[in-house]
Amino acid sequence: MFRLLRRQRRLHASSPRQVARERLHSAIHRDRMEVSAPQLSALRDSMQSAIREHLAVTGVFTEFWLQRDGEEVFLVSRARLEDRG
Amino acid sequence: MSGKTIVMTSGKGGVGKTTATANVGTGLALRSNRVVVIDTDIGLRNLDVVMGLENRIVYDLVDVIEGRCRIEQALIRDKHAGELYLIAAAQTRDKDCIDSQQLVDLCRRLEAEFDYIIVDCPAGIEQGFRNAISAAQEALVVTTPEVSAIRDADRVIGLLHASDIRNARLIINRIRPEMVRQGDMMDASDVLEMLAVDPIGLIPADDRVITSTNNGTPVVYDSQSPSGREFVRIAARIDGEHIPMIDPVEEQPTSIMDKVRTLMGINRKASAHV
Repeated sequence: MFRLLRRQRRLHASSPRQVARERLHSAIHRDRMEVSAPQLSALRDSMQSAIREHLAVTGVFTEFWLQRDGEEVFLVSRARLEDRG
Repeated sequence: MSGKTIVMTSGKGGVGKTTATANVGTGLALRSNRVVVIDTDIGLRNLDVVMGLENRIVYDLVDVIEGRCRIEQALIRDKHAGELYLIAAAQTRDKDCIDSQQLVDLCRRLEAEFDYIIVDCPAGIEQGFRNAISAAQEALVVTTPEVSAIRDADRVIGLLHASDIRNARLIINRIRPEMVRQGDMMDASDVLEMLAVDPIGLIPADDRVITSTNNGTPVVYDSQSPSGREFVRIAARIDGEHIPMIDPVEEQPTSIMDKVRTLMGINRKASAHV
């Protein structure tokens, strides 16, 4: 009986519907996080002006990229402080 | 009169956009609305064939936009529904021969005369898509419960959002209840969870769509057709009527007893998806 239930559960877990759900989930998440070069450039410009309203940094990011981690995305940016000396 | 322009789009080709346009347009006209359906699939027109109007085309969309005829001359009146008109796409031109602003101008003029303007969008996300969505206040996204179609629908919904069309609603077409029950196909809730937009219709796979297309008569006229009945309900929902969503998986009888109960008018399950 237990063996039968276990087999049913295993069958359900790998059913075409379940496989489709998982593959679709993964594809859609990847698509949603993909950013084209012009979009990344526009994002960088927006971020620069937003950050400069609050921090005294130079207008150029020395580093700016997006990193995906599972279902989250990190924006990694680095800017040099303005030299007022 | 101040009509509404609705674009029927999908991203992926072959999911039933043109069939949905013909049926939703007809369904709205049967509710005493004045309706125009516009085929913007320039070079690959088909809406005329689905509606059985292919032999009546004299002027097309490009003729109107390039000023070779008046709008009234390009409007082809449907044979059955009273106030339903088609503007056919040009067959010998390409999608770049019109621009978004020209289509916006045309739709604004039509909105003064009609209740609904349904724009049948070409597949893809290039210029033809951008033209088709430019004039729309609302969008209906057609998909099937397949990975490729849903993925493309997600991309299209993102592009609609970027174009400030935030009230897109989903038509899930060709649901196969038996396959869903056997765990071989995603069901409506799987698709809705993934796309996070409201549904406006859940359409079962239906052989009668093929015969109706062959005859050039939209399936919405066939009261025996499950898909035709759902298109009637979709038209009513667009028209502002509150009709609960009926999931074909729950609607279709599974056993002999279910079939008997259905024949007796009981056990009709209706579920509302939010």
